[in-house]
Amino acid sequence: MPELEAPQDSGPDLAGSELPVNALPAAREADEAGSHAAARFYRITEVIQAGVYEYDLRPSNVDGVSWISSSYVHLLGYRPEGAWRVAERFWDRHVHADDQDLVEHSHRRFIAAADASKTLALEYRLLKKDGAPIWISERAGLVLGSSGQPEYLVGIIEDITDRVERQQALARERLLRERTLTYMPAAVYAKDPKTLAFTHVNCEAAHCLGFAPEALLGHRLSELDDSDAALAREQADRDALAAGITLQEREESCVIDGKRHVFHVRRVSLTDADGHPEQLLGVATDVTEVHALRSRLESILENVPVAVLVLTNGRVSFANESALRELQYTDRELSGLALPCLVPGLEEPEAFKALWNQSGRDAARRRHKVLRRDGTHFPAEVRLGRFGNEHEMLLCLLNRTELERHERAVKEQQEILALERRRLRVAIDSVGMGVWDWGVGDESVRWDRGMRSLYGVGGRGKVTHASWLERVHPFDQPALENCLRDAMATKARQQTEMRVKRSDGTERVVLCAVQPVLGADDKVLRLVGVNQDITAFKKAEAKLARSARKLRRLNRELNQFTSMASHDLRNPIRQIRAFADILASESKDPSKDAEEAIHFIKTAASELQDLVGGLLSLARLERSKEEFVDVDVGAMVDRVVQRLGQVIEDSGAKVDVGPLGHACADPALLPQVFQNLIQNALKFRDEQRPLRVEVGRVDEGGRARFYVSDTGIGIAPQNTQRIFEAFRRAHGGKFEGLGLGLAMVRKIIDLHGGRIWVESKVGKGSVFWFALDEDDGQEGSVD
Amino acid sequence: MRILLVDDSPADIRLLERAFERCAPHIDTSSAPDGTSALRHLASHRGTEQMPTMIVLDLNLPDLTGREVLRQIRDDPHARNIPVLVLSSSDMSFDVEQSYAGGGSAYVRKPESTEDYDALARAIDGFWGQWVCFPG
Repeated sequence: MPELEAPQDSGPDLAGSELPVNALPAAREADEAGSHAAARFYRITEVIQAGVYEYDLRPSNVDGVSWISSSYVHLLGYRPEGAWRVAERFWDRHVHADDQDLVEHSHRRFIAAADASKTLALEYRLLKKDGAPIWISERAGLVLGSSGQPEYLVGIIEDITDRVERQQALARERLLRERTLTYMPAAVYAKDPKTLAFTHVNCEAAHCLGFAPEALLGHRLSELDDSDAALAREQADRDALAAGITLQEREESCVIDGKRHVFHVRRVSLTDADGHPEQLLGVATDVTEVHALRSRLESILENVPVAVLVLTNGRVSFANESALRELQYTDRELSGLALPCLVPGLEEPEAFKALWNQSGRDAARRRHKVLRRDGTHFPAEVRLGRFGNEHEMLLCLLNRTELERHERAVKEQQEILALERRRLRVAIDSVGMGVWDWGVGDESVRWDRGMRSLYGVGGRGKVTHASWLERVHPFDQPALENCLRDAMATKARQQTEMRVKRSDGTERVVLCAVQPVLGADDKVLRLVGVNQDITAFKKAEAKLARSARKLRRLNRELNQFTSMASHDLRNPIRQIRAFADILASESKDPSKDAEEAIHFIKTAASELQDLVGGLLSLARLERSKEEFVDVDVGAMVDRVVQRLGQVIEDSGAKVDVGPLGHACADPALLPQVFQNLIQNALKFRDEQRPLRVEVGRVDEGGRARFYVSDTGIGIAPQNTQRIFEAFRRAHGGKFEGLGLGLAMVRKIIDLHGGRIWVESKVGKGSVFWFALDEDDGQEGSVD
Repeated sequence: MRILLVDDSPADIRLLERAFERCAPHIDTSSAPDGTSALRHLASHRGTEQMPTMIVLDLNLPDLTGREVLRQIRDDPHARNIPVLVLSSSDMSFDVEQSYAGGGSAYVRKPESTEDYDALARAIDGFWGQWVCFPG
């Protein structure tokens, strides 16, 4: 290696060295040379620790050896200290490869110039012993010989690595800043404060203004674009400059690619140390989307039917329409109002904190009383949520007045429903009814307690369609099957009667009703129904049917009797009378006894005929059709009185008819009642007194009561019941008649479902009362 | 004029015969005590001089009912034009309606007295004997 290796411990190691010179410390060499001046120079360099070199340019230095001070050696990272002589190749290794040309070329030219008055200044990189580069600054000068030839090149070096690295970092940073400015999504520009010409425009700014960046630089905007918007922008720049260093913020809009954009623009006037404007900086960010979002949000807030307020530091800063309406404030009154004025419960810090702590992503909810402006309040659900920053909160008030009213109503309805359900249960249980429910496609049929008790099935065992069918009498199984199928097909209620076999072996008759439940698509979802034990009813029904049959038979027999009486009883009587006539007219000169006998035969036959006739009329009443219609009772009684005109006149009685109105009755039978009662009154008159008969009506409790009163002989208390019995005459043989009149009256009243009774005093007269539409109470009363 | 009296009661037959004897002695009467005898009487005298020109029929007969006898008379081509006076003690409208519906010429309730019997005999003679022209 043609290079000097630095000695490790005791001077340079020369063993095997190809170096042509001794690697002795230069100071020693200088001493040996006896050059006092040189020795002093070397000493100075050591004292001031300057990296100094001396290059001998004389032709005698054929190896190009140069001298470097100990500080230089130290700088390159060699030990021990001390000045060294180094060969030409030393520099090949320690000058940075990229700078070798520069160093060699500069030195060569400087030497060639041979001008001792000049100084060479160079900055380049050296490589330390370990290869690490350092930046140095070299200043060199020439020492010329007597002939003016350069004899020595001397120089001093300084380590400037720190400074250079700082400069490089600064340059990188500047570049980064410029790139960032150029390509950032915000529009950035700078202007000269005096001319307002652009000094910097980034891509975004140029794009927004609609020009290439180069076209803008050095020009005012108004030179290129004379639109109002451009002029307004330039005026804003001027205003910002006039305002000094104050930050100016405003929103401007412009049209880019046919679409309107809104920008948030900030302008800053930068000043120098003396306060003079140096530059105007403008930064604009596109807030079109933000604006759209905000307007959408505002529209939502204004239109939601919920009161929404924004609180800034606990005071109202925004309230929507609903909030103003609900709270009855104007916008101005509400603005700035503290939260506790609206929601009194929230003034306690703990309550508020608790509510706030709950509010994460979802707003916290709590029920509170909310005050209106007039002091009234309403119940509300209060929601508090974070909004924007920590100073702002969103407050939603949901008026619960209606809701709570509905909740109360629903609760009431539910209670009523529960009560109804309990009642229904009691009703179902008490009538021995069972309820079943069968979903279409379900395997099992749900049976309630009633069903299980009806079929005598205990426990909670599953009931299927098949197991149900098994419990039905085999003859009635098709009826149940048809009933279920028909309900599915017709989607209407069906019912059938069937016999079921209980677990204990007894048989019950059950009425099974099926009601299909339809879904929204009109399909049958399930069948529900009830089973009712009608065994007792069926037994009663059978008994009733037997009674009805018996009654029909009896009726038939009665008819036959009537017919028989009509023909077979009346015929002989008629014949007796006819033959008695013949006997009376044919016998010549009959004896007095025979004549009397014939008279008695005729009288008896006549009485018997009347009796049979009366009996027949009474029997026929039973067969009347009972057709009740509205009857004008007054007009009807007038006709009766008219018909009886002669009889009334003969008896010398006075008959008064009061207002009688209308009644629902059989128009053929009712006249008979009045006729018989009036005839009765005429018949049982007191010959000692004038007879007065009165027909009238009294309305009691909405029910009509008719009466026929007389001033006749009256009825003894023990007879007031008996007079209504057939063939019963209270007054023996004194008065004519069969005693059928009152019996018929009572029969007709009975047919109407009414009742008749008499109030009477012997020697004073009687009042016969009757009502047509009541069938209660006693049949008579005695005064 | 020949009248066939159909009645199961000999007393009624006697009362009628007596009335005819007294009030219309020129009327020829014969009698039958039940429906079968009456129909046999008509069948045996069919086409002869003895065929009755009028029948007085009671409804209440022991074998056939009066209505059945009336029906058979009206079905018999030789007897269907003979006037039939239904004489019954029944005053039920059902009997009256059924008698007329079955082809009865008149319905009269049985008289209550000998005077009424006489009046009936005179009326039959006066109306049916004098005014109504019987078919040959």
